[in-house]
Formats: sequence, C-alpha cells, structure tokens
Amino acid sequence: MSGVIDAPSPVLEVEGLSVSYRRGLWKAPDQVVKDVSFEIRLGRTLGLVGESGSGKTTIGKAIVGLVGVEGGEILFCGEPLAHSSRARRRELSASIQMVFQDPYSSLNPARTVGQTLAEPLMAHRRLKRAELAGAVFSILTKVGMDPSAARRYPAQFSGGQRQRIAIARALIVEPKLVVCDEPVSALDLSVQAQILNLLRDLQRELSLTYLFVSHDLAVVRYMSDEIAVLKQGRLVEYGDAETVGERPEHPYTQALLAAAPRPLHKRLDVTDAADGAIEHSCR
Amino acid sequence: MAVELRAGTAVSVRERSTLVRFLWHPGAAFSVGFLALVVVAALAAPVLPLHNPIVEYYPHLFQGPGSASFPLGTDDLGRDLLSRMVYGARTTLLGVGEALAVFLALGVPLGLVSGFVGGALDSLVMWVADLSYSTPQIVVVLAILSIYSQNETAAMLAVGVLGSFGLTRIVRGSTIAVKNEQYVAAARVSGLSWGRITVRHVLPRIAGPIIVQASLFSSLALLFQTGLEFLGLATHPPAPSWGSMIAEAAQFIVRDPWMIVPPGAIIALTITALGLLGDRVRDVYAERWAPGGVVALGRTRERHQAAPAVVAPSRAAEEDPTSGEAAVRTPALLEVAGLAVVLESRRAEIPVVENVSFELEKRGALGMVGESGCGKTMTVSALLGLLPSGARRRAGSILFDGEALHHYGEKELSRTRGSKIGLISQEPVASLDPNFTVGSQVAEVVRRHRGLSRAEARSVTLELLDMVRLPDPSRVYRRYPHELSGGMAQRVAIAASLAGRPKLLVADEPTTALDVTTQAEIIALLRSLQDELGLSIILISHNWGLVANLCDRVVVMYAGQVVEMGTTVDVFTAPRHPYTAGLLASDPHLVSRADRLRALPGSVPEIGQWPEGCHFAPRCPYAIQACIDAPIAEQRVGAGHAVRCIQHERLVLERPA
Amino acid sequence: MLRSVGRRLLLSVPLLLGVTFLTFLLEALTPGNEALAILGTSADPQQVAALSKRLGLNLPFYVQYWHWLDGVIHGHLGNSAVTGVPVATTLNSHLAVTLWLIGGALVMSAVIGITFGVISALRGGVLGRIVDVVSLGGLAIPTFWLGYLLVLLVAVKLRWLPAVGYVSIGSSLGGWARSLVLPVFTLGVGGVALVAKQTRDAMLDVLSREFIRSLRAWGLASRSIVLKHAMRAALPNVVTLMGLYVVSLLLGTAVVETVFALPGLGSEVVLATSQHDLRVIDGASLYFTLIVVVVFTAADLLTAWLNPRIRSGR
Repeated sequence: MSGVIDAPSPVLEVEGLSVSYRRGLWKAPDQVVKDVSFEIRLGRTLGLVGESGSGKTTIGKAIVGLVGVEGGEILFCGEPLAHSSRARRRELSASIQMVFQDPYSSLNPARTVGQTLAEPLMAHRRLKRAELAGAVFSILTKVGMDPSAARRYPAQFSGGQRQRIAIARALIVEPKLVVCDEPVSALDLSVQAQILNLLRDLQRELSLTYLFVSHDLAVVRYMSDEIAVLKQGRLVEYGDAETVGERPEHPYTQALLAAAPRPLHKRLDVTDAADGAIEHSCR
Repeated sequence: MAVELRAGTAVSVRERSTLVRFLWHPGAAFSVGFLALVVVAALAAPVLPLHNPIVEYYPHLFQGPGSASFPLGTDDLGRDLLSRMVYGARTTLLGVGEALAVFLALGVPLGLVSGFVGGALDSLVMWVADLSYSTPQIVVVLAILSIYSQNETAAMLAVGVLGSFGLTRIVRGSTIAVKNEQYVAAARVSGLSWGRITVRHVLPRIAGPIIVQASLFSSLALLFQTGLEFLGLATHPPAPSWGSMIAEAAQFIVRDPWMIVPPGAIIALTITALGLLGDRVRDVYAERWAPGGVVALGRTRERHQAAPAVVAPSRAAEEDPTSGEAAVRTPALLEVAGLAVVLESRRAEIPVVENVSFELEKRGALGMVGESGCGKTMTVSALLGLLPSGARRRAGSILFDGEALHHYGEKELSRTRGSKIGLISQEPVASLDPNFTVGSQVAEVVRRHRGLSRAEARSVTLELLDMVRLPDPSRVYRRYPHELSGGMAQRVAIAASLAGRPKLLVADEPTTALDVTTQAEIIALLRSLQDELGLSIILISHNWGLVANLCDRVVVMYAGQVVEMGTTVDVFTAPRHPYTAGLLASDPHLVSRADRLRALPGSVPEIGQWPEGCHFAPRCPYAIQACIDAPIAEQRVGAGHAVRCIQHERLVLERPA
Repeated sequence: MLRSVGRRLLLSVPLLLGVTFLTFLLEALTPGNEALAILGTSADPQQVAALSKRLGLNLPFYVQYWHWLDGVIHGHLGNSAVTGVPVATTLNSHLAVTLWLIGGALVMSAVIGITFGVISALRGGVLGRIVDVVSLGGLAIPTFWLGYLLVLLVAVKLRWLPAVGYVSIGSSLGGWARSLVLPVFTLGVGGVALVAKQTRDAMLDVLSREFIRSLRAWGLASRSIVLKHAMRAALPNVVTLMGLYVVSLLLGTAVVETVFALPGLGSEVVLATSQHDLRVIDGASLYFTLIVVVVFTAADLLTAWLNPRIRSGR
C-alpha cells in the first residue's frame, strides 16, 4: 500500500485478494471479496470493519486457510500462502491462529477444556502428558482462568469464560498472527470490555499481531492501530485508527460513524452541564 | 483480570457418564435388557434346556400355555412353541443382522465422504439416494426371490442396500452440520488433519444419529423379514421362524387362537424395544449436543439456566419507592409493582424477576438496560402474558390504563395483546410467519382487532405499511418474509404490532440483529411513531446509545432486580449504582484507544445462583459486609431517581473526572 | 412449483427405467428359469432350450430389456409364463383393490394421525403419553398379526364384518365398503402412528418458533395461530413422510391382500414370485413404481403449494 515503511516489518501482507463462493452447482460464483489489499506490521492491530455481508469474515478465513483464494496473494512474513500445500498450511497453523465469534459453538461440548486446549499442541509437537498439562495450565492462567477449568466441560462456563478458553486455544501454540473474528459480538457489554482488555494485554505481553474483525466501529477503534473499512467486498477506506475512526473521509464510513449510537448524542445535548461532563470523560 | 470461575454449576449433571444417563430411564433399561435377552437366548438356544423345535410331540397338539413341559403350548403338529420361538429368533435375527451390516457398511462411509467432499460427488450421491428412496423395495426383493428362490440372505442384503441411502443422507447431513461448526473450523486452524477431525469431532457427534437410524432400520428390516416369511417367500420348513410361525398359526386361527399370540408378541416387543432404544439415544444426544452443552434443563442463549437452588424471597416486596412521585407527574399509563417471575422446575421455584416496580407515563419512552440474563425480557413478557412455558408470575400487580392485567386470564390477555400493548422482537425475519405474504399477515391482525372486511383490511394494511415508511407498500404487501431484508421485516413487524392501535409498544432489542445503519433508521422510525401516534414505548436494549437516543427514563436491571431508575440524563451523567457506572465505563464508544476500558470483573450470576444480599455485591468494588448480609431496598436519591444500593454516596464522591 | 415438479419428473424417468432395468438384470443372472417355469421342472433340457430360443431368452438381457421397453410403449407387457394371459390384463384387473387399499390407508393415517398429533402437541401431558404409546404400538404390531387378530375378533367372534374376500364397487357399494374396512384399518394403523408422531414433533417444533410468539403478541386468536399458521408450517414435514410411507405400504398391501384374500397386485406378485413368473414381476415393478411416482409428485406439489420458498423456486 503506502510504500515501504521503516521498522517493524510487515507480518501480513494482503495484495489484491479476491474470494468467491459457489452457492450451487449451476449458479455463477459469488465474489464476496474483491481486490483487497492491506498489511499489518509486527505487534500492531489492523481493524477490519464492515456490515454483515461485507466480506470481512471471509478475509479472515482466507488468511487462516479456511477458504480458498481466488485471486491475489497473501504473504505471511514474506511467504506466499495463497497456493501453499496442505502440509505447509498445517505447519503454518502454529504461527497463524484464529479466535472465533461464537464462544458457544467454537468449543466442542463433548470434550473437556483441557482436551480442547491440548489439541492444537498435539497437532504440531509430540509432547509428554506432563508437558501438555503444564502448557494447558500456564495458558489458562495467562487468560485469567483457574487451571482447574481444564477438567471441566464448556457448558459449565459463561460466554466470557468460554471466549477466554477460545483465546487460550489460539495462543497455546504461540502464534505470531491472530485473526480475531468478531470475538466480542456475542458477549455482553461488561464481559466484552474484559475480553477486549485481555486481548490488548496479551498483545503487549506476547508481542502478537492482530487482525481484528468487527462490525462495531467503536470496538475496532478501541483495539486498532489502523482501520480498514469494507463495503460489499471492497476496501473503501484504509488508514490509521485516529483518522478513520474519528474523521473518516469516505461517506460510507461517515454513515457508519453517524449511525453508531452514541450515548447522549441526540436528546441530551440540550443539557449543557451533562454534555460537558460526558465530553470530558470521553476524550 | 478477574478469575470468573464458579465451582459446582451443573457438575453433578455432567459427571454422570453418558452411558449411565442413557440407562437411567425405564424405557431404555427395558429395551436394552429385552434385546440382550433375545439375542443371548437365540445364540445359546442349542445349549438351553429346550425341546427340539422340529420334533412333533404327538398327541400334544394345540396345547395352550401354562404346562410345565410346554410353557407356551404347542402347535398343530405338537411342536413346542417356546422352543420354536427361540430357534426362530436365530433365523430372524440373522436376517436383520445381515441387512443391518450392509446398511451400516454402505451408509456411513458414503455419507461421510459425501458430506466432506461435497460438490459434484455429493450431488450424485444425493441423486442416487433420492432414487433409492422412491424405489419400492418390495419389487427388487421379489425379483430377487423369484430367481434365488427362498434365498433370504439375498433378499435381506438387498433391503440393506436400499435402506443404506437413507442412512447416507442422515450421515451426510450431520457431517455437513458438524463440518460447519466453529469448533471444527478451529480444529482445522489448529492444523489437525481431516482424519483426526473425523475421529475426534465428527464421529462422536454423528454416532447418535447413526444409532437412532440403525434401530429404526432394524425394526423395519425385522418387519420386512418376518413379512417375507409370513408370505412364504423365505422359509425352510420345518425350521421355525417368527414369520412362518404366524403363517402356520393363521391356518388354525379359529380352532386355536392362542397359537398366533407368542410369535406376534415377540415381534411386537422386539420392535417396541428397538423404538424405545432409538428414542432414548436421540434424547440423550440432543442433550449432549445442545448448544449450551450437557446441562439437562433447557439452557438457552439468554442463559435461563435452571439450577436447583432455593433463594430466599426478597424481603423488600412491600416497598414501593416510586409511589410518592406518581401523584406529581402525568398519570401513568402503566404501573408495575412488586412483579416477581419464577421458573418452575421439579425441585424448586427459581426467581428470574424479583420485586420489579416501575411506571410509564403516557407518551413516555422508558429504556430497560442490562445484560442478558437480567430479566428484562421476562419482565415485559409478564406484562403481555407471554411468559415461556415453565415461567410464572408469582407476585405483583400490573395496572395498564386503569385495567388490572394481573387479574386477567389467558383469554382476556389475548385481547389486550395487540390492541393495548404491542410487541416487536429481536429477530425481525423470524418473527414473521414464513408461509404467508406479509400483507396477509398484517391484514389478519387488522381484521382481528378492527373487524373489517377483507378489502377494508387490505387498505388499512397498506396505510400501516406506508406509515412505517416502507417504500411501495403494495409491492411489499405481496412479499414473503424471506424476500425482505432485516430492516424491512422489522418495519413490517412494527406495522403488525400497531395494527390494533395499541397505546404502548414494547420493543425487545429491536435492532440487535440489524446492521448499524439500519439500526439508526429503526430508532428514528420509533421516535416519529411515538410523536405521530402518541405512543408510549418500552425499549429493551443493552445498547446505551439507543436508549439515550429514544428514551426519557431508564430502568437498569441486574440479576432480576431493578438496580437503578431515573431520567436518562440523571442515570447517564450521574449514575448512582456501581453496576450502572460499570456498564457505562465498559462501553467502548466512550473511550479512545489511549484509554483503557474500566471493565467490571466477573459476569452476571446464573439464574438460581443469585446472592441473598445485593445481587451485584460479588462484582462490586464498593461492597461492604452489609451488602452481603441482607437484601437491599431501593432508595430515593433525587427527583424520580432511585437506586438499590446502600453505598451510592461513595459513587458520587469517587466519580472519576 | 413447476421447478419442483420438473425435478420430480427428472427423477421419475430414471426411477422407472432403473427399477425395471434392475429387475431384468437380476433375472438375467439366472437364464433359463423362465422356460423351466413354463414347462415344469421335469421338462426335457432340449425342450427348455428350444423354448428359450423361441421366447428370445438366449438374447443378451439388455436386448430383451429393450424389446420389453418397446412393448411397454405400445402397451404390451408380454404374457404370463404360467397362465399365458397377457400381463397387462392380469395386473389391470388387480390394480383397483391395491389402489383402494393404499388410498384408504393414506386417508385414514392423514385424518386420524394429524388429529392425534395436533391434540397431543397442544395438550402434552397424559394425551401426549397416549399418542406416544399408540405410535410406538402402531409401528410395532406386524400388519399380518394385527390382521388376523381383527379377523378373529370382528369377523369371527362378533360377526360384524366379512372375514375375507372382496366385493367390487360395481356389484355392491355396501358390500365393497364392508369388504375393505378391516383391510384398510389393518394397513393404516402403522400410518396413523407414523403421522401422529411426525405431526406432534413438527407442531412442537413450530410452536416454539419465534413467529408464533409474535402472532400471539399481535393478539391473534389461538385458534387461528394453531390451525392456520402452525399447521401450515408443520404440514410439509407430514406430507413428505406420507410419501415415504407409501413406498413402505407396498409390502403391507401384499401382506394384507394375503391375510384377507383380496385379489390385489401385491398378492398377485407374491404368487408370481413363487412361480418364477418373470413377466408378471417385470410388469408389477412397473406398476408399483408408477404408483410411487404419482404419489411423490402429488406430495411435491402439495409441499410446494404449502411452502412459498419452494413455490418461488428458491
């Protein structure tokens, strides 16, 4: 995109990516991602925002290899991924991970948390039982859960706790890049704040790079260094979070920003004192 | 970073193994026991102390049941019926077993492959399955039997082959369902091979449906097999089989009706056992793979989990903190006082709404804020008499426009709904009947409330559709719900809710399922309808912004209680309950990247696990001993501003700048 | 609508060809049987060979199949090897009984089954339990056993109805009806059980859907909600099931016709099977498959009419 920039090097470069789905044997394929390009540098977060059907989740899936790439290229630390073999993909899964939207269906209800967490490790390394248990315990602690959770089943945890477990599963293989696909949209406000803070803390602690996908501009703005706005599969605005999140140029982003409900935006602005108080705590 | 783990939530339910839970049911225990008995007896027949099934004990012909040497009696040739039944089971079970083996051997792999690979292969397999579904088995089987005379094995193998496509279809469907589960996507992202994913995630999941289908198919195969024997198409006299025993008995039905009873009964019992087995497996699997997991009592997304626990009823039930205010303001349209709703389980009544009181004036807009599981939806459902099954209003009064709704029965409530209070719900498309045009649905509501002719109802409906700002109402009228976008569907739902000219519109998270830009339009529509029609509105939302945009008063709910209520300005700018303050601080709309969200620790306690004192105390930074000891009463803290907190003064002092 | 009928027809042609071809293929695996069947097992091998040649039985089976197909198009299904009577004549004379039986069982299971299912979905509790038991029992009792028990009770003991035999509708309407009551009831019990269970499950599923709650919230009468809206949504499942039920009914008709000594297609084809009368079996496979095709097409039309999503071709 904006030319070669000094430090740090890009972890992920997406160049002219397009993805199509076939909806039926006889129907023409549906292009849901059209010529999208962006990059994320080490330890930074790119927020990908758009309404439903904008193709934002598909981009995340293409990066982790859950859907095929139709055109363009995805470079991970310089390595092209678009046409890499299954075996290579499997190796790379230790470096590129994903946190899913729905903490209810992203954990297999019939497997204990410990089994779920150990699974990615066992796919990559041959570890002894004790080593596995140690890794599971330490990752659970890292995401703010009691290690005893390993013996329990997902049904015994609340949505927020499940999302912590899902984050633990993504991080247990010590990836570089994590695709967060709407990780808080199924959660309540107070729990959402916990998870957002957790993701930020872990990023700093483990120098993770995030692609943060969400429909909520406010959440994306809180999480991201840069924001890319998608509309119907195309990138309509891309820039640093400050600019895109506060003073967008593209009318679509402006509409998103204007439509996003802001407390005390409309009715209360008559009350000067109240308005002032809130504006103060906002900035 | 709070550790939210709570011990003991439903552990007891989970930790009983699936097998034990499966057998912990009279039907399942009977069926497993009976089937085991039949199989063992058939296998062990030669070593059991039985008569030879083909020896004719002359003159013991047509002997009834009950004698010591022939417990079930004898047939027309003096052969022992018990022995013939046990030996007959060998023939019958062998035939069923052959068919079942083919059924499984073909159906499972084909279904797995078809589901996984998809594409053209899948289409082909499904096409063949469709064909085999509509193939009359009897034709194929009779063709076989006309050539391989009396060859039962060939016939039953054919039955297995034809039936296997039904299984293929089921296995394929389940495979696709599992394949699309996020946990399978997660396993793929974790680098697991398809082989491992199949073994770990797919097979355990589809084992249940396979067992169900296998038991169903076994009973069909049993009927088929005995039917063929009965018709004399697959018998080897004098060797016994269940079907041929009935055919033999039929010849002497008038002379000795008893003879036909034992073979018929054993077939009926075996099939019953198979049916019960299948039903039980289905139930156990449904529990095991419910979206919330294993918990037996229906756990929904809203987490109305019913865990047995007895919570002391709120002692503050008599207080009514708002009554003083009411006289001063405009007369209230709705007055709710001391409302309590409980979920009834076998062992206890679990409170889901406790002592909720609030009122709403005419043309007022009241926001209800709080996280899921706090009782907002239950509260408004109680107003409308639409509580889900298992939930019951236990106490409290609901006065609407002078009518005491809490005294109404279902019939009177049904007349209230739509004509006095309207409701719009969270899922716009799902809230419309998919099988009727939206126009005809709205028109039906119009006719119900206004008693108009069809033509009049049609024109009123068009007016309503126009009123909710749908472009080209006459075109929308003819559309089906699946042809509408979420925003359009929500407008239609609003039109239907207003068809009976209600005075109050309850909007339960009306925009949660919609895109942000559509959300704003719907809220704008609600506001203008409020002005045009003089409506009162209750807006349930977890979104502060929407509430601030529409409502003049706010009720904040936490774990079944109202914890704060007041004007929107007061609650937003000077929250007096720590939960309200915490929720506001959790909203990312109000902070920038440089700041940090001040997140509340923990999460809303599950229903049934509410503390006896302040429900919020375990998460509250200001909690003191008195908060934990006893229920907290509501206190007035300003004009029309009440809060359920004894520490609310500290919140004022410590408000961060 | 057109689309779903088109799809069904696309499936029907291969089905008709497939089933009849399969029948021929199976028969071809043991050549010479038919001539033996005509001449009797004690026949001289030379005679058998000569007859086989004359009947074209030595030709490759696909050529024989082609000849047969050609005949079918011109309305000839060949002659019975045993009686020498044209197969079409025999089968046509037996068709009516089978159609009455299938039609009667379908109507019975639809009317009683749906009523039972709806009642138990609404009432639950004891009634739900009763439907559970009826549906379990109705499926578990073998048709032939039930048939004899009914003959014993209603015909032999109580003498209300004739035990066996068939009176054609032309000769006596009353006699015809009386001769069909027990067979249809025997055949339909399983269907009642199936339909009741399916209706109840489908209704319970529909009644828990969101749109039912909003219809209630809009103030519609529960009568309309249940009988108009919920039924409409639940019926496609029931219709599909009834289509499948007809396929399984075909063996049932053979059994019932045998039990009650009715001159139907089923008992005729059973007889042909034991006599190795292959031409009759070929013809019967065509007839049975046609019945299935007609029923499935009707079920598709009904489902499409009930479900706007199919009707509009999505």
